[in-house]
Amino acid sequence: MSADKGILVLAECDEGGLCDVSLELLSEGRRFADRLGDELSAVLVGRDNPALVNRLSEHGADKVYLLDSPLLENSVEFQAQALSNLVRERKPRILLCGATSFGRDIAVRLAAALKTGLASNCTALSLSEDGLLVQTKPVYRDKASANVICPTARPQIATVVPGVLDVKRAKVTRQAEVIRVAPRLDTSVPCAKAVRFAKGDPKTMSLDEAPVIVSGGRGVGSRENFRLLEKLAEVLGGVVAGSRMAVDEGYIPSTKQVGQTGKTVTPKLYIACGISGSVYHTMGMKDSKTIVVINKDRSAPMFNMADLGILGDLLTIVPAMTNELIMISQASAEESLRQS
Amino acid sequence: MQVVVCVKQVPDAEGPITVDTAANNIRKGWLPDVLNPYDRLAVEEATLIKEMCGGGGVTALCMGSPSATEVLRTCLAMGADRAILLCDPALDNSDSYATGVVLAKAIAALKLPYDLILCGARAIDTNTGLTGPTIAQILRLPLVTEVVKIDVHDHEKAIVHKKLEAGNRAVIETPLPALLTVESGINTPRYLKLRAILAASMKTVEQYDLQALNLVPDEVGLAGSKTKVVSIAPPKPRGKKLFTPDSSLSAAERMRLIMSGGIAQKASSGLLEGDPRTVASRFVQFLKEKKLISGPPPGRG
Repeated sequence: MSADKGILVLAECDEGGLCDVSLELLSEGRRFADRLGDELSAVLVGRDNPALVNRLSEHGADKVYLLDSPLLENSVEFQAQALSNLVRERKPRILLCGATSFGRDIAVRLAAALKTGLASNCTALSLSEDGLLVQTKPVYRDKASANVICPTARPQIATVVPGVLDVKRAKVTRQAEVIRVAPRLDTSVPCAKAVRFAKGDPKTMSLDEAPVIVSGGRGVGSRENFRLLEKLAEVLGGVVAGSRMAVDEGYIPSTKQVGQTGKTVTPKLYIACGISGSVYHTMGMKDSKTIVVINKDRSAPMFNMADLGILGDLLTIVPAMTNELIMISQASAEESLRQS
Repeated sequence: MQVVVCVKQVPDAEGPITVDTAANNIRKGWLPDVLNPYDRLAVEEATLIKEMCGGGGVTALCMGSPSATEVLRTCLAMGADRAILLCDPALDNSDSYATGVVLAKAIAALKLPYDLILCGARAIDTNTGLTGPTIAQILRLPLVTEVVKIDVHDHEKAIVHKKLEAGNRAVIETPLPALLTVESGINTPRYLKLRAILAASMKTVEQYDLQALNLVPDEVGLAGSKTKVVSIAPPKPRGKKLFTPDSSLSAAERMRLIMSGGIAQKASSGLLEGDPRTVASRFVQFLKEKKLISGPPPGRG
């Protein structure tokens, strides 16, 4: 086991390029690698792109493995197979993945295939005195947090929740060595294949899955005024929700209630309109990534949580926002028409 | 369709959890034990599939202490035809991986028939989600995790929806037999009628120990586990950056911000106000900076 060396980060991409969580993992991985005198590598599945390699280098990767094969396209099973072969060959002592649906899926498959331990949804990582990875993860529905180690099996695999680690550029700039790997895959095993991707529909999406939530409280004033929020949600591809007050007043159904007695949500963007910000409400949305607050009342406690606080009447501001967003989406549609 | 559902008994995390830092565990004894909520979805789904296919059987399989017969009775009341408890002191303290090994070997040793194996996506106590994938690995079955919809076609294949981020779904086709782990949203478990609960209490729960499963002690329990909990604590509140009021604000305003309590003010630029159109364009600018919307594509030249 002592032969296992190096730290490997699973690099993940979305439409916008490298996911932030991969950079977060690299920054943390660099710290561990420096402390252990180890090498930090990243692995990219099926993307040969010099810009990605440069970004991985900037964030501290010594090596970048590129796994490429047409078979990897629609099969997470083949991707996991290719990755487990890479891990068997290179023997990293630590493997870090983002706790995204892709990262979680890969991590459980690798832990099962490599007969090693896994700590899921970690919120912090550290190294013990003797160089073991100490993984802090929520247990019992987030009501306790456990520190877990993987004493003998290798690699030590963790998935880490996006946004809990900091992104740092590496102190020493380096150009990562690129290693292309054509994985040997066993195609004889029966295996599941993705046939289609279905985009989420904001109209039917549940609150806990929605990336954008436009939420209203008593300050919205009436059920009719809630239409303004619906329009804004629509242009943002989001869902409408409300506080307990909005439900009690009959503005929205109770299935759309956010808060201690409603749903707990963690969208990328939460827009709170006319919500004063009682703790019953904020308990349900405090982990939203970006919070925009619109309120007439300067002393509304909700402003304390805001990344952007807007003082004013939501009945005029929300429609203005909606119009502005429609205008830029039209402008970009025209622009892309002109370009094509 | 023959479906095996793997279930776990867990402390009811809806109740207040107190942590025993000395014992590296939560304080047991006064929290009721329940069927893991994700496993409840799996049992419900198995029963629905059986009903839909007009035949077959559902076997609920559980590794746990003797008290876990209770959750198996819940499974029977929900519609499972057979309930099996794997119970042996040597199995105590198995982690997710070791549990997967035990369940997989039990399925093989007891020759349980299956076209499909269902597991919950994770157990709420350990929150790992490795047990199902380990079973799939050992039994060499296709695996799809975090499934929210299952359509079975003629015992041969299943079309399933896997939950991705932002409400998106991957539609995945898998040959059968396969192992699927189910995620919240797949169904609403039935309300248990008293009659079903009473009927379940009359049924037998089969019980097997280590020897009956051809398992050796060093692949199960603590010895077979790959991970170890070194400490457990009440959750720490999420770290927030220390709040220091913007020095350009008036003294009164700064005072008010400081007095407003422990919640850190994140908006560094103070509050935005003005006519709606200006505010709206600042808002859009903010969304662009945060990369929450993409701006118009760069013009030519």
